[in-house]
Order: sequence, then C-alpha cells, then structure tokens
Amino acid sequence: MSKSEKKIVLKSLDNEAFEVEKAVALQSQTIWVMCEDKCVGNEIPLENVTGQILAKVIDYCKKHAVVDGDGDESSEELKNWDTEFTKNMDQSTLFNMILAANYLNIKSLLNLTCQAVADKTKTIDEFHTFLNIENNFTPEEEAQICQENLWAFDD
Amino acid sequence: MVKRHRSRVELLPHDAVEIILERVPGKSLRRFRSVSKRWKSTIDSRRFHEQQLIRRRQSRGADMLLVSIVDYGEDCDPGRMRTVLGSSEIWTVSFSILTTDEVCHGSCDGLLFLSHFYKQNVVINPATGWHQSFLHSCFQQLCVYRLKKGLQLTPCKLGFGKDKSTGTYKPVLLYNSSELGLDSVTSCEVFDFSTNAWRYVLHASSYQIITCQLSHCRDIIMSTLDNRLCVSEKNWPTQVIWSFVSSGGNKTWEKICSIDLTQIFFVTGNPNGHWNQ
Repeated sequence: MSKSEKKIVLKSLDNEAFEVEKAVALQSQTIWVMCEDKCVGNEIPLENVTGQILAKVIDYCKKHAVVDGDGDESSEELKNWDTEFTKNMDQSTLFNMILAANYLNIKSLLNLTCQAVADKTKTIDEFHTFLNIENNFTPEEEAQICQENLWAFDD
Repeated sequence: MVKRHRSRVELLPHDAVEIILERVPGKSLRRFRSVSKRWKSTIDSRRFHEQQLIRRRQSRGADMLLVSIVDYGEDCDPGRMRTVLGSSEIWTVSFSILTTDEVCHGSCDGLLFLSHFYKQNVVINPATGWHQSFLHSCFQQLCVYRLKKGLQLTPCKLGFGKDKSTGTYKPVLLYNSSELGLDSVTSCEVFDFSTNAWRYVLHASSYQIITCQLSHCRDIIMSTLDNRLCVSEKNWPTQVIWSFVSSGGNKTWEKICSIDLTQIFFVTGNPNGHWNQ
C-alpha cells in the first residue's frame, strides 16, 4: 500500500477538508462501508456534518485509534480523556455530536455523548431545553400521568 | 408552555434517545415517563427494562434493594435516607401501596411483587416507576371475607419468578387450604399476565408445607437474590446471607454477605426491611 492510500480526505457540509489516516476514519462504520464499496475515491463527502463538529469527531477517533493500535495508554487514561472531551461541550455541540456519531455510526462515541447528556440533564426542564420536546399528551392523559406519578414519588 | 417550532427531538434518532434514557439516574427516569407518549412507552417497555438492568449492573454492580413496609410519615428525616455508599446511588421510592400485607422476599430482574388485601396486587419496577396492578387471587378474596367476619387467617407464602421458557413473570401464592375448608391440604395459585387471571396449580401438595401458626419469627428468611435461592439468617446484631450454589453435582451454601444490623438501623431507620437484589 502506498503512502497516499493510507490517507483519506473527509469533506464536511461546509466544504472543509480534513486529511486523516485511514485507520482513524475507519472507526466510523459508515465510512468503512463507503470504502469497502469503493463507491468513493480518496475524498469522502459527509453531507450531514459541519467542519466544527467533524474536527471534534476526528480528535476522538485519533485518540482512540492510537490507543487501540499500540496500547500505550491505559484504559484509565482514555476514560479520563473521554470525560474531559465532553466536559465543556455546550448543549448544541453535544447534540450535534450525537447526530454525527449516529450518522457516522461510531458506537463508542454515540455511547459517550449520550452518557454526557444523561449526566448533564437531570430535570425534565433541562431535557425540554435540550431537545425542545413537544409534549403530546392530551390534558386528560396528562392528568392521569400526574395521578400515576403521585402513586410513586421520590423522597 | 412547550414551544411549537420544529423540535430537536424529531431530529434526534429514537435509538439515541433510548441510549440516553438507559443512562439517566433512576430518579430522573421516573419523571421522564411524563415527557411524551413515546418516551413513556419506551420506558415502560420490556426491552428497555432489560437494557436498563444490564446497564445498571455494568456501571455499578448488582443493586441492593431494601423494601420497607413501614410508613415513616412526615416525621422522617429525609436526609438520613439519602446516603451514598462508594459509587452506588441510593434513592428512595415511596409507593402509596406500601402499607402492604406482604412483600415477596426476593425480586426477579429488579421487579417486586407486593400483595394487599384491600388494594390490588401489584408488580413494581422501582427503577423506572413502571407498575402493573392485578386482581386478587381466590385465596385473597377468601381472606378478605374472613377478615370481615373476624375469622382467623391462614399463613401464605408469596413467590415471584420468571418462566424461562416463555420469559413471562409469575406471581405465586402458596397456602394451607385445608384451614379454609377446601379439599386440598396445600394450594398454589399462579397469576398469568397473558390471560390476566389466577389459576390453580392442581394437587400442589398433599402435605402441609407451611407451619400452622402465623409465624412472627423472621430470623430465617428464604428468598431469591440475583436469581439464586438464598437464605438469610438473622442473629442480632448480624444478618448473614447464604446463596445456594450448584455446580457439577456439588451443592453447597456460599456466604455472600454479612450485614451489621446496627449500621443498617442507622442508614435506614428500620432493621426489619426486606433485602432484595
């Protein structure tokens, strides 16, 4: 395999190009399938991910590719890195990371970002803000849920 | 009021929502049932129950469930109930039914079976807030009748398990039926959720299995912990729990834990709770 074949170019929605090692990119099942199918050249357009998010996804993949490869870092260190990685992400970044992880099909990143949301949002109000959820209960149904919640309540 | 513009939740794949919900702490989870219909049906689903159970075990080991049938009322200091031991999460869920007559000693997959003479029976998942009520058994109807007439009650044992072949959960009642004027000595009733009815296990036993007297001695309790038969022996101030181990023809009792009841009293305020795992 020549040197150029080991590299791959990922192009974001806003036409930002990232050249990465193939081993890094292939952590995405979506990219893996695209490469297997040989339906793309060395440049892969990712129409659902912005450059800002893609840069973060690549950071994550680089970190995890290195560790999986030579086992230099302990899993403890990797865990700490993961925690730091999501710690200061704002809600909108976190939301877009989940969408990207889902679209690119990177299971561990999806789990990590979902865990971060679960850790950060403790109340229904916070979830409503995070997801702009629409409550689709009718007033009658809502009254029933309230009654059910009286049935079991937390101290 | 909730905004009516296009919501992010429509953009977020429901798979991701499920992954988030599986990781949300129990207290929030029970509240999230009222977010939307889809979330409620997700949280109440069998699949979610199984996933969440696996998740909880992975993240902090098996849960210890302490069921107290004592009503603390408003005098209870809630601060004392919220203790954090190591990485474990401790929370308290109160069910209004918990002035119950009986709690089954043992849970199955984190579910509890509670029975009540004046209210309906119920199977509860304390982790998600899901619960399902069901009818009284023939035995319980007889008991209500006898209670009203001031007649003596006969002891019964509750059981709760999972039918491994069908995957359905089954509440079980075992009691001395001869004392109730029935033909058989010991009767056994099993509730079937698919038909929503109790049925008799015919000829359960021609022997008396449960002692005659209503026993108040709680020193030895048989129960199911982590889907294994266990015996708890209480010898103040220590409670020892043994687990039945059967492997390769060897059948032994293995000590799984020893609890200092004076500490339990401090943590929960009630040394007579029922342990489940």
